[in-house]
Amino acid sequence: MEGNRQMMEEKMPAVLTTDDSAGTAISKTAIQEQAQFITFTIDDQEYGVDIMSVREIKGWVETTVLPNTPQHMRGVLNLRGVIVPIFDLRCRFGLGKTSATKMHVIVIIEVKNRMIGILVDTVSDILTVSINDIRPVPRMERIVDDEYLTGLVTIKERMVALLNQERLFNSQLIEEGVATGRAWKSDSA
Amino acid sequence: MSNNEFNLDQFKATYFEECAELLIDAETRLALLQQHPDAVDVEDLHAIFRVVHSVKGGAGAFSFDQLVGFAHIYETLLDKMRQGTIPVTEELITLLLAANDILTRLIQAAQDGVTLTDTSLQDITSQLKLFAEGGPGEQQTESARPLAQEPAEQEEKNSTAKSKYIISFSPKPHLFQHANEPLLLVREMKQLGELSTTVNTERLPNIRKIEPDIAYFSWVFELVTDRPLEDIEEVFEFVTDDCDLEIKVETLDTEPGTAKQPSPEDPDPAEQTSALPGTFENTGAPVQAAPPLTTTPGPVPPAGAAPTTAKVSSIRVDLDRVDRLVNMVGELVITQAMLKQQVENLPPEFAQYMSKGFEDLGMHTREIQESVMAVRMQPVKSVFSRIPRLVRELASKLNKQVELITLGEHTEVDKTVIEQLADPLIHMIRNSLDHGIEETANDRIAAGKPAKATVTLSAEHRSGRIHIIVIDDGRGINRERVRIKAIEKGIISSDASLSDEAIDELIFSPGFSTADEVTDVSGRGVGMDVVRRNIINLGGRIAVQSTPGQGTKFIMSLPLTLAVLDGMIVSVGQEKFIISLTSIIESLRPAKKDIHPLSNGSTVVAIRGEYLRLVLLHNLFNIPGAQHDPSKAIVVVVEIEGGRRVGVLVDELLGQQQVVIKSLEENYDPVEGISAATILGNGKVALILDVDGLDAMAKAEIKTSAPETSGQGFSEIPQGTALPLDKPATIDPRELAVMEQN
Repeated sequence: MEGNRQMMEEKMPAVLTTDDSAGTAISKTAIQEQAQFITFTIDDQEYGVDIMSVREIKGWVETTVLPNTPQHMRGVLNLRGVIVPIFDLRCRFGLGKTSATKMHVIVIIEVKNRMIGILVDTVSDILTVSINDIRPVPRMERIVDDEYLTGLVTIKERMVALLNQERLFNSQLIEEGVATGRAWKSDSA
Repeated sequence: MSNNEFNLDQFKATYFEECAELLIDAETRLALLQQHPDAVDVEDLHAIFRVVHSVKGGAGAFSFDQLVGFAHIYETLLDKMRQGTIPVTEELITLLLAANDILTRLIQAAQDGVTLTDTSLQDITSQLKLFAEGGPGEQQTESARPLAQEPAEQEEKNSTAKSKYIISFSPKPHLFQHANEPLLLVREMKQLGELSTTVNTERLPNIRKIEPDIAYFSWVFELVTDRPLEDIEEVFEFVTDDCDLEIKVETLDTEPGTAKQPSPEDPDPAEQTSALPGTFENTGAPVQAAPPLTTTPGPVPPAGAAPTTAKVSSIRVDLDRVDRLVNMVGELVITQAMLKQQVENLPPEFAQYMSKGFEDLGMHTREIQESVMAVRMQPVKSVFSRIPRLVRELASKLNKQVELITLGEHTEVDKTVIEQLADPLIHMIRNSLDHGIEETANDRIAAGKPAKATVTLSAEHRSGRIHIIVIDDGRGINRERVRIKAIEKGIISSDASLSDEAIDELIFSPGFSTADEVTDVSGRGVGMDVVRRNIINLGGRIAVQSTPGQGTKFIMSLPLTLAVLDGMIVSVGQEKFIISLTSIIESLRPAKKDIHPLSNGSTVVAIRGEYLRLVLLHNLFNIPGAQHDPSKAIVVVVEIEGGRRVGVLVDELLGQQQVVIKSLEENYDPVEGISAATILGNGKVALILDVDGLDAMAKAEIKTSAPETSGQGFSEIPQGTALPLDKPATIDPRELAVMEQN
C-alpha cells in the first residue's frame, strides 16, 4: 500500500499533497498498480473519490441546517445515530447551490476519521484504473483549483477528475476554494 | 517467551489499563488502612500486595526495569506487613501512600517511555528499604507483639529444624484455563528442599474424552525443607482459587509429631481456619502464632480470596463499542416510535391486530435502552477513593482534626459523569475544610462540639438523578460577613434585603471569597462559582443549606448520564431547537409595554421589575419566517455563566423530552451557539442550544456599530446576489447582520 503511494508521489510530485495522511487518497487495492474510484457527476463533469473512503451512498433527505456556516455546508443528517455534515460539492466549487431533489445523491465518505457526506447529482460508476494511467493535473487548467484534485483519468473519451477530499473539506482551506470557484465564475461570465 | 515480532503495544495498553484499575483499588485499600490504623484488616494488606505484585509482574514482562525495581522493594515491605513481621503504624501508612504515588508516577513514566529521575523516588525507595529490612519497625515488633512471628530472614537463619510438609494438591479442571501450570509449581517447590511426588491419575478419562485444557491429575507432594510454611504457601499463592490444597506439617526435629513454633494462644486453629474463604484448608497442627492485627491466623489467605475477584465477573470492553451500542439502541427506539406512529394510521382492524405486539416491542426497546445505559455505569467509588487522602493532607496542612465519613460509594453513575465529578467535589471538600470547619479545636470545644470535626460525603440515587452531599459540622455560613463582602465586591447593593437562603446563595457568585487572605487551599475567589458552573455544565444543580454554628450542607444533584439530557423543544420559524431544562428558569409571553428596544440595537424585557436582555435567535441564526415581535413570541428565561439571566426569544414551546446528546464536533467543527445535536422522534437532527454561547454572540452583535454583510444562515440567499463568499468558514459574529436594521 505504501508502495502504491510512493509510486504515485514519484510520478506526480507536484500534485500529491505532502500531508501525512494523504495515503487514504489512493485506493488500497489488492493489485499493486490499480486503484478504484467511485465516480459521480456534477452537471456534465465527472469526479472520482477513492473507493476505500466511501462508506455509503444514499438518496437526498432533508437536513438540519447549521446556523452561520458557509453556503456549501448543507447541514447535518442522522446516519444511524451519527451526526454527519453534508457538503454541496457544486456549491463548494463555486457553481451555485444545488436545489436538491430525491434524485440527488449523498456520498458518505470518511476523511481523517470524520464522516462527511457530499451532495452530488448522480453516482455513475466504479472505476478501476492502473495507477500509471492517472495523469497529473495541469495547473490552473480546470475549473476547480488543482489543489483539490489528485489527478485525472481518461476513460474512453470521458475525463474523470480525482478529488482530494481531505483538502476539499479542510475547513481552513475552504475560503480559498470558494474564492477560486468564484474567480472562475466571474472569468467565464 | 518467544521473541515473535507481534505487536506488544496492545498488550501494553491492556497492562496500563489494568494498572490504572489496580491503583484505584490500592488507593481505596490504603484509605481504609489509614482510617483505622489500629484495626487493620489483613485482607487489605493482601490486596495491596497483590496489586503491587501484579504491577511488578506486568512490568517485568515489558522490561520496565525502574518500575520492577521499585515495585519489588514496595512489595517486600508489604509482604512483611501482611505477615505481621512489621506492625502497621500511621507512619508506615503515610509511607505506603507516598510509595503508591511513586508507583503511579512510575507507571505513567513507563507509559510515556521515560525514566523518573527526581529525588523523591530515591527517598521513598530508601525509606521502604529501611522499613523492609526491619528498621524502625522492628523494635516495636518485638515489644508490642511478642507473639508475632520472627522476621522471615531471621527465621531462615535460626531455624535448622527441618519439617516435612505433606501437600495434597488437586487442581480444579479449569486450572489451565486460568493460565496456571502445575509443573512450574513443582519446580518451584523443588528449590525449597527435597521433594517426592505421587501423581493421582484417577480422574484421567478415556483418551477420546480428554480435553487438552482441563486438569485431570492431582498430586501429593512430600517436601522436606527448613523453610517456613509461608514459603510453601507462597508457591501456591496464585493457584489457590483453582485447586484444593491441603498442607500438613510434620516436624523432623527432636519432638516429632508436634508442629514447630507451638502456639498456646491459638487453642483451636481448625475452627479459625475454617472461617477462611475459599477452599484453602489447613488441617495441620497450629503453625503460626496469630499476629494480633489479623483476624485469621495461620496460612496467608490465597490470592484473590475475596469473593469478588475469585470468579471472572466482568469483562473489559472498549468504550467505543459501548457507544456504538448506545447509538444503535437510540436508533432502535426512534425506529420503534416511527413504526408505532405508522401503525396508528392503519385501518383500525389492522391497528388492533398489531397494537399488542407494538406495546411489547416498546417495552423491550425501553428495557434494552436502560440496560445499555447501565453498561456505562460505574460506582462513584473511583472518585470517592481520592477524597480520604485529600482530607488527611488538607487537615494536616490546615492544622485541623477532621474525620471523613463516606457513604454510598457504590452508587452508580455514568462513566462520563464520574470523570467530570472529581474537580467540583475536590473543590467542595476543600471549601468545607478551609471555610466550614472552625479554625482551632478550642473554637469547636467552646461551641460545645467534639474537637474532631466530621465531614460526611455521601452519594445516593434520587428520582433518576444522583445526589452527592457534602456535610460539615463546622461553624456554618457567617451570613453577616458574606453580606458585607458581597456589598464590598459590588455583588449586591448595600440596601438590598435578602433572605437567609439568598445570602447563602451568594457564595456561588463569581469573584466571591470571604477568605481574607489567599491560601494555597482556597480563597482566590474562583471557588464555588466555578464549582457551580461545572455542575451546571454537567446538567446538574447545587444547593447549600446552612445552620450557623452547626454546619453546612452542600447538595449536588447530577444526571445519571451525560448521554441524555432533559430538554425543552422550542421552535423558531421552521427550525426546532433544544434548550437544556436545567438552565431554564421560566418562560413567558411578555406584554408589549414590558419590551424596550435600546439604542444599541438590543432589546430588553422587564420581568417583575428586572430588565433582561433578549437573545433574538432568529436574528443570530438568520432564521426566516420567525416571529419577530416578542409580545407574540415566547421568552425563555435562562441562566447563563455567572448566574446572570437572559431571555431567549423563540416562537413556541413544543414540549419537554429526554434527548440523547450527539456530538457535532465528531464529524464537523464547533458551531457557535450550538453545544451539541440530538435526534428527534422523527429521525431528524435537532440542535441543542448553548445559551452561554448565544449570549456571547448577542453581545458581540451589539458591539458592531454598522451592519455590513449578511452571513449565510437559514435564510435562502438568492443566486446572483453578492455573497460574502470570501468569509471564513466560521463567520465572526461581529460581522453578523442585524436583519431588522437592513
